[in-house]
Parts: sequence; structure tokens; C-alpha cells
Amino acid sequence: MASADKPLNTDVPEKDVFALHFLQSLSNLRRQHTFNSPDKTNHRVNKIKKAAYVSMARAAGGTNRLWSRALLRRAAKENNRVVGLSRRNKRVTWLRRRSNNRRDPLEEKDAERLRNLVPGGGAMETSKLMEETAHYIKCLSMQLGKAVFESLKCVLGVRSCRLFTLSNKLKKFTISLTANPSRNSSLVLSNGMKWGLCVAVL
Amino acid sequence: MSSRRSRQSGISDDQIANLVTKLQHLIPELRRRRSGKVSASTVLQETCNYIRNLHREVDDLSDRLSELLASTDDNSAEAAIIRSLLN
Repeated sequence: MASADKPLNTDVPEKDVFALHFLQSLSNLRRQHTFNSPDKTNHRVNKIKKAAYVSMARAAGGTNRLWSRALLRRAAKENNRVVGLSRRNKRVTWLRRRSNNRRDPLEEKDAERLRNLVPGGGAMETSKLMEETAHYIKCLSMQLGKAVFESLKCVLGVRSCRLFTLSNKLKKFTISLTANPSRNSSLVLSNGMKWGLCVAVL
Repeated sequence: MSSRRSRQSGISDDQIANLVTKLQHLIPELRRRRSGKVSASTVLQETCNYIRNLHREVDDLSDRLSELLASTDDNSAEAAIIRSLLN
């Protein structure tokens, strides 16, 4: 299966793809009635978190990668939805993994820890695991560092803009996602800032 | 089964080393220590720590987002902007 000749492919899509998926899922969340109530904070936080991971998995290639497939399957199971994913026979992959992991025991201990962190890692053998880890890290840092969250943090630094220019700016932002050079990332909810803050929610 | 096994145990140490180097480049902690003496075990450990940090950041930012989304529904002007963007 994983022959030594196949070149490793760890390309991730552009950050716009990630942001688009995430914004779509956020807007879907907002349409739910129970979402906007001021209480039930944990419930809301968990939903946002799950939306972030699922949108990342979809943006990164849906069912093309093992980790995104496992993530989506886990999320669907939590919603008790039946997902039509082609299941590789788990027992076969486990046996294959056992027969091939004759590495030195040091590496295997660390690899086990890694398997617990990367979604779907339990059924992968070591080389596949590392490839998936590389892709996973790239996608995570794309989602966190560059795509939506960092830009959110950047726009939080916007102080005094007029309503019109702000909404235009943010519309452009939704399409092009250029990061604002001002990088004030503190979340102070004072009244003056609150106006700029709320617009930053995008 | 035996033929499959013999084909697969041909995953060379070169390929493993290649993967380890690739991972090393991705982790900011290890990019600075590019001395070439970083062992595979260190790379894997640092990868685990890095992934845990990223997860923690996701949690933290989800908290902030949820705060933001909750606090903005009082004011109608801002809600209008948000609605125009999220639709």
C-alpha cells in the first residue's frame, strides 16, 4: 500500500477555504433558536468548537484524508447521524500495523501518544500516521493561525471606523481575507471597544 | 498475506527519516534547532506537545467566540452588520 516510491502529499488548501467553511457553519449555528440564549454557555462553546473542527475537516478534503474522515465520523456519531463512509476493515489495518511496526520501542511509545492525539490515529501504521500528522498540523495552524481566528483577533484592533466603511471592509474581508496589520489581540469589552468588537464577529 | 507483508516491510528507514524531517519543519519549536541532531523521539514528543497546544488554543478561542456571539445580540445595529455578513 504505502510504497516507498509514492511522493508524500501534504498540501493543504488555501486559507480562504477554511474560513469560508467555518463562517458558513457559524451562520448555520446562529440560525438555531437555542443558540443565542445568554445562558447555556458550555453548550454553545461546545457547539462552536465542534463546528470549528468539522469545518476544518471538510475544508481539508472531507473524506480524502484519514484524520478528517475519522473526525467527521466521530462528529456524526455524536449527532446520531448515519454517515455513508466506506469503512476500511479495522481488524485488517490493526494486524497490518502490528506486523509492520518493528521499530525500536522508543519510537513506538511516542507514536502511541501521537495516535491518541490525531483523530483516527489508532488504525494507522507509523509512516501513515506521520504523514497524516503533518497534514493535520498544517490544517490546524491554518485554521487557527491564519484563517479565521487570527483575522478575528486582528479586526479586534480596529478602533474607530464608520459603520459604512466597516461593513464594506468586512464584506471584502469575507471574500479575500487579508489580515489587518494592526495586531491587538486583547479582548477588552469596554463600551467604546464593544462596537468594534461586535463587528469583528463577522 | 505473506506477499503483502514482505512488500510492506520494505518501508525504508529513509522514508521514516524523511517524514521525521518533514514534521520537524512544521513545528516552530524545532525549526529553530535545525542542528540536524534532533532525534526522531524528540520530534515525536514535540509534535505531541504542539498538537496539544493547538487543541488548547482552539478551546480558548471557541470560548471567546461564544462570548462575542452572546454579547452582540443585544444591540441591533451590530446585529444587523453581523447578519449581513453571516448570511
